[in-house]
Amino acid sequence: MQSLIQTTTYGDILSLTGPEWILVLTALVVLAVSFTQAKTTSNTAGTRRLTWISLVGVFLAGGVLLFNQPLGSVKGDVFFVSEATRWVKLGIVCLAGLSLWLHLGTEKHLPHQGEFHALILFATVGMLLLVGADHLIMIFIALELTALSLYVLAGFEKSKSICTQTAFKYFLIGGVSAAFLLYGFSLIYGVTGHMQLTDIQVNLASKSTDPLLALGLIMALAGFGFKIAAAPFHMWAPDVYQTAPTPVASLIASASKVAGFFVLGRFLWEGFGQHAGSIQVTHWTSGWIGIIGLLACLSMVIGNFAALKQINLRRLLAYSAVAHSGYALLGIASPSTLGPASVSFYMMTYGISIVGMFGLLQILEQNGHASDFKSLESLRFRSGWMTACLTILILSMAGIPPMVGFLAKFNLFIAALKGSSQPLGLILLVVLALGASAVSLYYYLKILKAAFCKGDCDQPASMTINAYQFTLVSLTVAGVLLLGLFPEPILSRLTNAFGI
Amino acid sequence: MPAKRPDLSRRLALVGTLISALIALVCAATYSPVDGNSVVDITKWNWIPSLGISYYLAADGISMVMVALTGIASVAAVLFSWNIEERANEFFGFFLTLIGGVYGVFISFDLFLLFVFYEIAIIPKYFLIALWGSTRKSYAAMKLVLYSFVGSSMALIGIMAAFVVSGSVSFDLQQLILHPYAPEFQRWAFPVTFIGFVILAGLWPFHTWAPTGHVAAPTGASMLLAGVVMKLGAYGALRVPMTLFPMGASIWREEIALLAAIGIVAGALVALVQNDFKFIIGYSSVSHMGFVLLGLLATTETGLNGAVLQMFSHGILAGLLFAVVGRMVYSRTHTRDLSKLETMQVGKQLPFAATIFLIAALASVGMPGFSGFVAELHVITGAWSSYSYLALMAGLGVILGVAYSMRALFTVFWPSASAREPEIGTPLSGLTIQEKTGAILLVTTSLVIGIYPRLLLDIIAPSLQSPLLKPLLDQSSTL
Repeated sequence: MQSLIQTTTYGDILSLTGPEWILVLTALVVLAVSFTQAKTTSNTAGTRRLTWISLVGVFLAGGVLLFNQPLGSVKGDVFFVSEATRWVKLGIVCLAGLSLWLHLGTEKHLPHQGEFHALILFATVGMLLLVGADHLIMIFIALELTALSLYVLAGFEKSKSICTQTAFKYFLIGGVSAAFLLYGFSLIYGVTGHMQLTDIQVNLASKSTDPLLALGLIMALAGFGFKIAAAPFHMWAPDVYQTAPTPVASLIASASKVAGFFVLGRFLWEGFGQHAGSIQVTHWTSGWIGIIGLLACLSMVIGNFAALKQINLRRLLAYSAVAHSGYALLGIASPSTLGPASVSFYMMTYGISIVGMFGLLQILEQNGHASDFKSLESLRFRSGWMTACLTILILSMAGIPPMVGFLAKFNLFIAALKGSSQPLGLILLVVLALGASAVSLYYYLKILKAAFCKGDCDQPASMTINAYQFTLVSLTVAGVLLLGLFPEPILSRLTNAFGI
Repeated sequence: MPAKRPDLSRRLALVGTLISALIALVCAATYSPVDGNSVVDITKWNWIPSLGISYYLAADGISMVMVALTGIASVAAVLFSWNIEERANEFFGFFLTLIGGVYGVFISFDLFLLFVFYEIAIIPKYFLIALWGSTRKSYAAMKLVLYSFVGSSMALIGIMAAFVVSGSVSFDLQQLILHPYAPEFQRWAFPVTFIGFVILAGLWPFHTWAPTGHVAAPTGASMLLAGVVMKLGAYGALRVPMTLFPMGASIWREEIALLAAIGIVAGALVALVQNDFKFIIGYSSVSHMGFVLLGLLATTETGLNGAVLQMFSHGILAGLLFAVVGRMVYSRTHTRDLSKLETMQVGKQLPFAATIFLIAALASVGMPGFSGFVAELHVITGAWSSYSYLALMAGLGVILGVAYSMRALFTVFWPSASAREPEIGTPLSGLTIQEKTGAILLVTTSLVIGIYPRLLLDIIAPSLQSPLLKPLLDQSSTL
């Protein structure tokens, strides 16, 4: 890599934010193309053209990240690029690309496709900025850029009242949580007089604990909890997963989570490292690890037990996503250097499998089925390929080897256990997480059973699967398998990148 | 695999298991320690170096015995699954995945890898039971998988804790044992890990998945389940917690041994009053696995020898019993109710099945000349030196074993004249060549080991002297 850049010239800022600029420009191009498109061209062909343009932009951004990304920070440390952010951004760009690919397979198109694509790209830009943010204001702006784009996208199907309702709910809860976040930030600023994370850390070192700071932190955590859909801030998730257009739901479920977890970890460890506290039974000291631990417990328990009762697969996935957020919070609570790397690896690999699941749901829905257990019945006899893919993706989410879900979870738990100076600090949480996985196995197996067992469905009509859907799902399945069998190249790079 | 050709899938599965069984037997027969080290490396490859995980396959004498058992049991199980017509390709797909996982567990010396194979062996069981099973199959399959999963999660906690506490950079078992774990750590790590593994071995009171699972499973699957999968738990318990935490073992062994002894007696007592033929065998498995665990927890050389022998012997004999009950009898009579079978004159119509059941039942209750006798003798002798009252309970278990086996045998195959009713239903079809071959294979194995147990004991012996188990045996001899 090139030497670190630390300057304020516009040229350097541009080169540091290369991928972000590429995506913004692509979004503008997409908008322009959609304006010039004649109304008479076939809707699907026109949309696909827009998607391809967006995908080219995403590929370019990914290429820049991979091959030509200078490292450094903008003066004042508002925004920075490190090896770690480079890898996380690459993950986000890949997941956003997959979600766009999912859109290629969509057959029924809504109006305003230009805006649709532009918003997806803007949301992605917001996530990338969030990852690089090192300053409270920057974090807030990036979060809002992502969130506002996603609110609109979630309600894109505005002819359906349920969609509008969901988007409005999402917007209201999101707005309140943004207010919490901002208020928390303002308290933190009030106590420390700094906005930049490392400055806050330095400033706090010379101060005694301030109750206002605790209040500020709790407020900020509530705001972040909404982003990562951790219980009890998860209420929006099931509705959004159920009614948002599939590519949007998959973007929210995958890429935005990766960004949210990364920035949460940075915010807590860079800014408030010495206020972490400890949840050792024997050496209890108050600190934010306790809050994170509580959020993790609630998410694992509420997510998994609520998922047991679901009959709609999208809602089930949403609740299981809450549970997965709970597992990932263990890594956030881990003070070891392995923690952030393991969380990122976990969320990225989970993202791959959830995108694949949304691909399968899209196929089901386009064949005229509702996305519930009933429509999965006797899937084995309608499409062997889909059943095989479903099995692999579900088992990966359940954490069964040799799929990557198991390895990611294992890595996370090891990081959590290794973390504290007393190695068994987080063991109770790990025990709870393993118990919760056993609960989750129940509903995951129920899905597979529905697919394998012969239902009373008397029309064994085969499924029509278009080429885009086929490639997307095959790609995610291959990713889940290959990463599970040969994780070393990615895992070691990620761990090294975070070690710097 | 084409769905329309069940015979093709069957033959391919048979060839596959035969080849691996032959390899396994040849390896076991030619096994000899290299340079005084009982662990023979097969392959070692740095799989995930950043987590200290390697793809490390190796074998010592105990692994060799288990691998040989898996070979024989899997061939027999394929032979007894010959009647699977519906979706045979999928059936054998899951079947072979299961067997692959089992082989993997027995020859993994990297704990992460061992765990991966352990989990691979769990999931196919769900499908085998839920899709091809009978009698409350969904319930039984889910119960079995959830019990196994909870058990394996507990084992995983132990493995991860051992890795983290040792500060080690490797999951290699031979590296991990070099770390002296603190007694306070071993005090809780041993029971968690041990119970985690032996849930799969049917330790009382965590055994309830076993009878329901065995009963619901199709014959081939219950043969594997009782024959080799339950052994995974006992093997894992010996390989991981007992090897890593010998001090923990000496703290807890008496309590857990008591559970094992209760399991022997309780399993036998429950088997005595069952009316479902397959439940009798299911509970007898619990009872027999109690011997394995008791042998392990005696932590003497004789006890461990006995435990390994009993694993082998029970693997063969339980397979045989399930084969008779599930394949030879149930798939022809379509009932397993003892009072109905009593009237069907099964013994007259299927003399071969009756003979095989007689042999298997006698062998498993410890008739001299068969493998069960040597194994149980070792276990009881081993247990006697550690805790004599538990050995007495085990002896009681043997006697009860005779009682329930004979009850089943006489009710089904040779009912008393009063119970026999004159009318005979539809005649039962004769036994197929596959069934006879499988049965003879298993009987012969049991007989050979019973007459000449040194065949296995010579393989096991050097492993008991190895650095892996030495701390355990030293620990108990100082007590």
